[in-house]
Amino acid sequence: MSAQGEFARIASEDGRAALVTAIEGPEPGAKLLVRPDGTTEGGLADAALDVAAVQVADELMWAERSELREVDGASLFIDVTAPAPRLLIFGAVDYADALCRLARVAGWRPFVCDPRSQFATQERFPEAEEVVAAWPEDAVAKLGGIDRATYIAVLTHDPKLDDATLTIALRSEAPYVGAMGSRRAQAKRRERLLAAGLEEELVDRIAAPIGLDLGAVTPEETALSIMGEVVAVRNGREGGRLSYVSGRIHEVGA
Amino acid sequence: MKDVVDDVRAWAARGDRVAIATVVGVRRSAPRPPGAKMAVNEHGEVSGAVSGGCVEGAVVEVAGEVLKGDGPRLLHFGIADSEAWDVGLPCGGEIDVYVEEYAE
Repeated sequence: MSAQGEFARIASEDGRAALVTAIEGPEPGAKLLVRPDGTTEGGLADAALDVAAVQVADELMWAERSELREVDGASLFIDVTAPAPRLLIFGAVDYADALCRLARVAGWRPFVCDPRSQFATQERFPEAEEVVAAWPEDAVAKLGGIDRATYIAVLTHDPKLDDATLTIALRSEAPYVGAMGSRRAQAKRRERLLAAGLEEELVDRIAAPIGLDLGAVTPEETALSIMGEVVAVRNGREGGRLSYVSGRIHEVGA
Repeated sequence: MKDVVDDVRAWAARGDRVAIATVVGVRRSAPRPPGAKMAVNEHGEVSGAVSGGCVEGAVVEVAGEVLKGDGPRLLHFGIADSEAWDVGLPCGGEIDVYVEEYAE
């Protein structure tokens, strides 16, 4: 199978990969497929260019953006296919159901994890891709680990469970780790995690209180504020009102 | 790729020759982002889109030439380039479209 055929196969299975095409280069039209684990198919007819292309491909397949790049004098189009981003929700609470529904509407894949098996049921979260009744470490393992396209919302309302989840989440590659609770709860949480030996720069990664400043009250409004923050983080934005800022509404090619 | 992949693979599986047109560059406001695709098979069947419908006709024509074995082509569409192409984008944007034959 060609690099292009393999790319099509991966796209049809909702996987992640980048297909690099030399628009201009040593061999115009040549293709190099790059997978998330760094393995490749095909080539651009120049070993050094292949190495440079793999690096750009890795960056863009996680940024989930297709782009034309000038690399070592060659003009390369890096075409990206990626599955919908995952939102891992810890805590099988009412807010989690609203968050699952909004995540679905926004095209995300929500998952719910909670060791309390009487709450962590598929029936309570019909919109969840999967509901995992397990402790955070086992739940994360069952979901194939946390990659750069996994966003995490911790809604457990249970300090012990909160801390166990955050300890794993903050050490992972997840670009976003939000935690529900008041500013007071966050101050206490911070103290506990630092006392448990977690590095300060990791603890500082927690987005808490979780969500955008919408004045949200109901579970649905709160879910909207969390989804708003998650989408903004994914797009490298602050999440303010467009009418108050100038500049592009969205990145070209996003 | 995802919006055309099912058609592309189905056409290739039944032995059709297939051309793929991909938006590789956009300037100013363009209707579809880089990576947007349109696939055309040897019978002229079309899947997907590279713009809001303004340049698809021209792309289908070039896809036919590519499937005759002319090799890949890089097309440019935009209001500033009326000499090369009679087709513009009403939104005032410009797009580059790369057209090639699909190889399974």
